[in-house]
This record gives sequence, structure tokens and C-alpha cells, in this order.
Amino acid sequence: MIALSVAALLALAPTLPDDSLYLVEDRYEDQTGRALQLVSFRGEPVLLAMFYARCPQACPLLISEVKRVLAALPPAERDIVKVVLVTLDPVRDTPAFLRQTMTSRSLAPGRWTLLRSNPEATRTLAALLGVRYRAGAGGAIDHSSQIALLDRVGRTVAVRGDLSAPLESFVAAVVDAARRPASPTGP
Amino acid sequence: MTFVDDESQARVGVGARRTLLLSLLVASVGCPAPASTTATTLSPPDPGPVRDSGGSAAGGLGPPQLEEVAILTDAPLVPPPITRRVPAKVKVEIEVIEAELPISDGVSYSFWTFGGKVPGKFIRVRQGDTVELKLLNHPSSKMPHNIDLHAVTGPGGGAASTFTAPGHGSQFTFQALNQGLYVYHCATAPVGMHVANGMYGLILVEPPEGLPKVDREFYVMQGDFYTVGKYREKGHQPFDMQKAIEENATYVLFNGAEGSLLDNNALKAAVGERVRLFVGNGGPNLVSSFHVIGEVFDHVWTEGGTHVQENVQTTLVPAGGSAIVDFKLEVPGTYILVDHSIFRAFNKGAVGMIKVSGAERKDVYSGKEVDSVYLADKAASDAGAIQRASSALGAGTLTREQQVEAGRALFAGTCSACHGGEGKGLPGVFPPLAGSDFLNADPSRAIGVLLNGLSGKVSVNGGAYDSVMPPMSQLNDDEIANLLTFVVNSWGNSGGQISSAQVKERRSGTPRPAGAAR
Amino acid sequence: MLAFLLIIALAASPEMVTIGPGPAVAKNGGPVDVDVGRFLLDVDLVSRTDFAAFVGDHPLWRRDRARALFVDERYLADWASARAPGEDVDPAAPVTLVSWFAARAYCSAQGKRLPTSAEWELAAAASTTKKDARADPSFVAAILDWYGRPPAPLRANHRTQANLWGVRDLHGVVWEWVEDFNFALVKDGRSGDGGALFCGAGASAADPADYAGFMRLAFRSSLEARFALPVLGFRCAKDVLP
Ligand code: HEC
Ligand SMILES: [Cu+2]
Repeated sequence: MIALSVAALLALAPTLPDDSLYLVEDRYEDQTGRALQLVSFRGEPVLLAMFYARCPQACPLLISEVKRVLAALPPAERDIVKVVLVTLDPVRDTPAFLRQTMTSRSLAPGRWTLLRSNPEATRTLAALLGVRYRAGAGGAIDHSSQIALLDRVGRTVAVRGDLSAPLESFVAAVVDAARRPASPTGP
Repeated sequence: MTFVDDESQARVGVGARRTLLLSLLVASVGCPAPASTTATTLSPPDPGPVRDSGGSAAGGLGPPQLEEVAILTDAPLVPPPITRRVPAKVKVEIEVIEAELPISDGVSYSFWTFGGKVPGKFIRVRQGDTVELKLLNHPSSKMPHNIDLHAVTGPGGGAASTFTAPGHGSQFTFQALNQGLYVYHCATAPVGMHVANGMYGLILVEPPEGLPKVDREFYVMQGDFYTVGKYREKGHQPFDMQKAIEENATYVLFNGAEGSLLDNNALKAAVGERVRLFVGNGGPNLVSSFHVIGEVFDHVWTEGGTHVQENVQTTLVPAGGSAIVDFKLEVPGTYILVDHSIFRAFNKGAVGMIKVSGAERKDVYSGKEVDSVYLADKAASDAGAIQRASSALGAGTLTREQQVEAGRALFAGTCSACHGGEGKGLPGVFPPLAGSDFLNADPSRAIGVLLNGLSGKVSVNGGAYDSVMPPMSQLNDDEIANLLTFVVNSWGNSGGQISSAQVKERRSGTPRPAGAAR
Repeated sequence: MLAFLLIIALAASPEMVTIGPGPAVAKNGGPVDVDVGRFLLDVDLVSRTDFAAFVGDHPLWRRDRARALFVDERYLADWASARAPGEDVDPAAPVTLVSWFAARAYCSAQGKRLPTSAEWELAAAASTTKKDARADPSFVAAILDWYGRPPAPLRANHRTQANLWGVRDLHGVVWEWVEDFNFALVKDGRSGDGGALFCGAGASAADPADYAGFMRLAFRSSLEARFALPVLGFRCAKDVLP
């Protein structure tokens, strides 16, 4: 496993920019239990956000916000954008529970991936994205909600933080990321 | 495989070389060149009939047609009036600097500043301008800071968008929809402490047609300060949270330091000129009763708003608020700016001066000047003698002569107002110190008089006095020892020497007045 | 395996001390209601010399190689070279200008981790005589005085006497990274309790004893994980072996 990841890294590192999120080597698993790293999403623009499945309010809102962004995209661009949601509650959000969430929130498996890692890697990703969170009362997690747009090589090119702000500029950024050629280091 | 129990650590991949960009955020502390505060023509303002400015609804005057970098000034200077008549995009860059600066003679305080001074840089824009505000927090800062401008229409006034860690910068843009004179301040938790440390300034949003022309404009901003030591206690003085909560100010000051508008620092103008003051009050706590002794404000834009009041003696300036006042100068001399909540002026430092030059106008005013009463201590103090005495004390070589010299320097500002320059007093009101039998009977008793004040019936050289001398609680042990040594060796008194050890001993047996901190 | 345990045991002493258990202190400065169990904490801040040794062993954390993803432009910028602090700074002084990622990597390389804010606050609530000195006016005044003053150049560690737990320099030298520095939801003032940091601060003003913790909260909430600041250092913690 370790040998494999080093090999993978050596193969990829020369082409990943210095500020690519895909340099993070932490291991994740998706709703099917498949092991992967963030770099597995390399190659396509990604909408990345953090949430937790038992979240009563903020996360359903976040998910519908992502859907709103997708709906605002022209079909050609919408087809290539992927959505990755990473849980802030890796202990309770097992793959099985994430799978259940996919169904209950009608998230199409082709486009949406739900991930979990370990608590430490979760904190790392939150730190990288600027997501603030802490354990709240009664098993809740208080957290800030935002959607990051990663380009094909894993750089954060836009962030939608204020969910009440107009959608246009963020949608334009997604379109732009989708239209750029898949060159290894971007523009 | 269980991911949750796995303590794997983020590792860093093989990196490409990267150049260091060190200088980016280490912005310089330089100030823009001070602007001239003089307009050329003299035309009295015509505030015209009371009208409705339309508020923010009338504020958007179209998209910016040009771009400029704002001229920013330190108090008491004001950037020049805006002459353009089209909206612009105005870039404002302010650097937050935490700095130890004098708050009074021999007293230093750790100020947190917008631009290196208290109050912060004066910003001047025109209604309808789009302001791009960049806040840099100097890398040497210990605290995060932000800026909340009362001129901003939008939640938090910019505070959330500019919350900035040390060594970082942030930026936001707003349109100045409402005209008026507005306070800006830091709104980082604990807000009270950031404001109490001096984090405030003024932004003027001029009406589209500009303000009526005047000859001189000045920037005066009041603030209250809370130190652990009492008023004028020497050395570095830390912030006293308890006093701040109790609103028990140690200092109430114009432009961030005692003496910042006195003597050589006084505002200057000439007879025949019209002077405008942009007055702000940073607080954190106290509301100012702003007054200029010897003048009447011809116009007051109350609370920095649009409507003009005329012929005003004293105007209230709320904490976190402002006023624009102007007056024409007819008579030469020194005019004193005070907070007319008057103990603040005499006992906490809230005084300033405008020195007006020009020909006498006996038809308007014939009397003598007033400034010696208020400011004798500043004017007459011989800092050299005091300094020599204190270093001699430190070296253990303090002589009676040095004490006398230092005491003489202090007497002029501290005692002479009541007891007279030659210690003769005023019959029936202030007893004499010259040849005083009361004093000479027991010179060490006078230590208690200075520490605690004196009231009730006393008889001095056959004269009866029944009045009050306030405690001289601003004086430290050395100063009291020097003052009394001077007094007992002057004007035919019986001589001797009072040591600061004697004063210290007496003070330790004297309870500190309430609020005099630890 | 035995040798491995032995090394850990050695590493844990004598420069670490046991702290806790204790109640959640400083509600202002920590997550909601987290009781703190027993843990080990470094007696001293990590020094420049310590960090230079780490950088020597892990060249990927040299300032000329570290990834922009993990450090900003000021990372170790006060060092004379990428390998060593040099003559201009005191090598025994606490290392500063390190990002959260770098601090974390250092601790991890020692078999340790960063303390959580709750752990740090528990350790830092103690004076030399009391476990919880937060209501002690002179203790609070000394902390606030340091917060208020512009920073002076850093000198060697061990500037202050060890507190009741045996930890030195928790106050009065530098700010410190904690694992969950980003627990505070106030970064943009957008979220529910964002108001607490801005205009609503009056609530806390009623309790001056909490001011110091409140100021740490304000400070932490201004940070991003890549930031390297001249006044921000760290020390490591470790779980107590069962
Ligand atoms: C605000 C006016 C005022 C100031 C300032 C003042 N005094 Fe007095 N002083 C008085 C009055 C009034 C009395 C008499 C009090 C009474 O009637 O009980 C007095 C009494 C005294 C006495 C005792 C009576 C005597 O004449 O011997 C001494 C000594 C004295 N003052 C010294 C000083 C010294 C030294 C200073 C400067 C540090 C000073 N005073 C400043 C008003 C003042
Ligand atoms: Cu501030």
C-alpha cells in the first residue's frame, strides 16, 4: 500500500502544481468502500465541499446549492463536472451510511462521490479548504459551508462561501474550468 | 482496512523549487505626503435652506469614471478638498501597526493604530465614490485586526471582510452612498480593548457639490484611555480592563496624547480666517462635550450629518460619532479646545489649543489671554532639571540643590496656579507658602497635605482659611519630595530636605483613592 | 517492538509532563464542553535548534522545498539559510514563522501531535500556584499586558517559571498553534456565532477574567493553516499510553 502510493506520487508529482490539493496523500474511502486518494479525481473539474450525513440543516442546504450550480451550467459543461463531498464525521459516516445518504438525497453515483477518511486527515482537508468546524451539542457538528471549485489539476480556483450571494460569477468560473484544456499544469 | 483508526499523516510530496517572496507583505510604514490644509479663497459657507439629501437612495451617482489613490493624513492634518465632480474609484491602503508611543510626558502606552498614529489616517472621498479599502496588518503585530467603517452600507461595515492576521492583508470594496463625517474603528474581539487602544479614525464623505470653502481644516479626535497607573504616573502603563469596564478613564485626550495640540503642536490660524474642525470621538466609552473656549461655532453639522445648526457653544460628540464645526476668527490669541465635561480637561488631559495670529480687535475683545491658567505646567516645566534629579536619585547622588531645581520646575505648573508664582497665595482664599508658619512648624506634615489634600479651617500667618486643596494624586514620590524641598528652601522658609523615601513611607500608610488601580 | 516502545517512553520524558484530567476550561477559547483526559505536553516550546534538526531529517520541510499548499511565503523567513537559523537569531529561542502543517509534521516526526485547544487551555489556565488561575487578577493582568504590547525579539526558551503542571512559557512569549485552531466559526463572520467576535463582544466584557481566552479565540480565528507568523510557535502533545 505504502509502496504503491509512493510510486503513484512519483508518477504524478512532476506535473502537479505546487498548490494542488492533489498533493495530499491521505487515504479516503467512498460510499462503496473503495479506497482512493484525492488525486483520483484528477483530470476533471471538481466541486468539493465538506458536510456530514446527519446534518439537519446546513448540509441539505449545501447539497441543494450544489444542485443549483449544476443546474445553472450548460449541458456540455455539466457533463464533465464531478461533485465530491467529504464528511466531517468520519466515525459515524460509514460507507453504508453514505450510500444511504446518496439514495435519500437522490445523488447520482456517476457524478457524486461521498468520501470519508480518518479524523486527522479530515482536519487536514478542512484546514486546506478553510472550512471551520467543531463538535457541537448532541453529536452535531457546527461548521462553515462552502463549495470549492478545483481545476483539472487540483488547484482551488474559486470558492462559493456566501451561499446567499448571486450565483453568476461562481457558475462562470465552473464553465471556465470545464472549458480549459486538460493540460497538466493548466494555463 | 479501517480508515478511522489509521493515524496516517499528511506527507508532502517531492516539491518543485519555489522562490521566496519575502517582501510582499512586509509593507513599509511610510506615510503619504501631508496635504495642504489651506484653501485659497475665503467665502463664508451658505448652508442654504434645510433640504433633504435623499440619504443612501440618492447616493449612487453612477459608475466610477476614473481611478485614484486616496491621500491619507495623520491628525491634525486633513486631505485637500475634492474638486472633481464625477464619481471615482478610490484606493485606500491602511496599515495596522501596534506601537509603544508616549501618552503623556514620561508615560508610554502600547497603542494599536490605523497607520502608526492615534487617531488613524483621515480618509476623504466623495459621495458616490467606490472605495477599494485594503487593510494590511503589520507582520510585527501580535493581534488580528479589522476595520468597520460607519460610512459603509452593508453588514458589519467591512469588519468581516477585513479580519486580518498579523503579516497579512485583506481588501473589500464599498460604495459611499451617504454623505457625512463617519468614524471607523477596529471591531475585532474584544472590541472594547481594540478601540481603547486607539483603533479609530475618521472618513469624510463629501457631498457631491463639496463642502463650503474655508481657509483651514483640521482633524481632532477624542478618545478615553485606561491605564493601570494613575494619571501621569511615569513609565510604561498597561491597559486596565477593569477601569475600562467601569468607564473610569485615566486619560481623556485629543489626538492620542497629552500635549498633541498644545504649544508647538497647537493648531495655527490667523485673524480673518474661517477654520473648520472635523471632530470625531473614538470612545470607547465617553461622550464628549466639545467646546472651544473663547469661540462660538458659527456652524455645526451636528453628529457629522447633513443639516447645519448655527451659533453653538458646545456640541455633543457621541462615542463612535462626529461633528463638523466651523468658526471665523476675529480676535488674535490662544483658544482652548476642551471636553467641557470639565474634569476631563483639567485632570485627564482633554485640552488643545488654536493659536491665532493677527492684529488686535479691541472693539471685539479687550481682555488678557487665558492660556497660562490651563497650561502653565506645560509652558513652564523645565524638563531638564527634573530629568537630572531623577537620574541623580537613581545613581544615589541626589543633592538638595538638584531637588530644589527639579522642584522649582514642577512648582510652576503644579502649585503656582493657586499659591502664586512667589508662594504669596491670595489672602482669604489660598494661604501663602512663603514664610508660612503652618508649613515651617512641621515640614513633613506637608507630605500629607499633598498626598491627601487639605480642607477645613487652617490658620496661616494669622490669616484664617477654610477652603479645599485637592489631593495632588498625579504626583509620584520623587516629585513630591522635590516640590517640598523646593518650597521649604524658598521665600524665607526654614530650609531642610524631604526625601522620596519619606514620601513613600507616608504614602504606604495612605489608602489609594478608589479607582487609582493597583 | 520492545525497542520501539522504549524509544517512545524515553522521548516522553523528561521534557514532557502529564496534564489533566480536567474540565473544559475557557469556553471562550475552546470547543463546547470537551472534558480533557490525561495527556502529555512538552515542557518547552519547540526551539529553532529543534526545528533545524527536523528540517535536516526531513528536507521536504526546508523552506526552499516546502509546498506552497502547506506554507506561505514567510515560512522560516527569518532563518539565514534553508537549513539553519544562522547567527542573526537566537537558536535557542522558540521557532516561529511555521505553518500549522509544518508544526504538525514536526510533532508527528517525534511520535507526537499538536495539543487540542481544550488541552492547551487546560494547561495554560494554571499559574505557578493554582490549577485554574483564570480568576486571579494578577495572572490575568500579566497575560493581557503581554497581549497588549508590541512583540520584542524572541530570546531563549524557559523565560517563565514552570506552572503548576510543570509547563513553561505558555504565556508571555509567543502564540501557539493547536490542532483544532480552525474550530472557531468566525472567519468570515457569516456563520451563526460570527457575531460573537464582532459587535456582540460585549457579552464577554462582563467577565474580564475571560478576556484572555477570548483574545486567543480571536487570534486563532484569524489564522489559516498555511500562515507563518513571527509571533506564532508551537509545542507538541501526546496521548498517555494506556
Ligand atoms: C487648586 C488650588 C491649589 C493648588 C493647585 C495647590 N494648593 Fe496648596 N492649598 C490650597 C488651599 C485652598 C489650601 C488651604 C486649605 C484649607 O483651607 O484647608 C492649601 C494649603 C496648602 C498648604 C498648607 C498651608 C500653608 O500655606 O502652608 C501647603 C503646604 C500647600 N497648600 C502646599 C501646596 C503645594 C506644594 C502645592 C503644589 C504641589 C499646592 N499646595 C497646590 C490650594 C491649592
Ligand atoms: Cu484591532
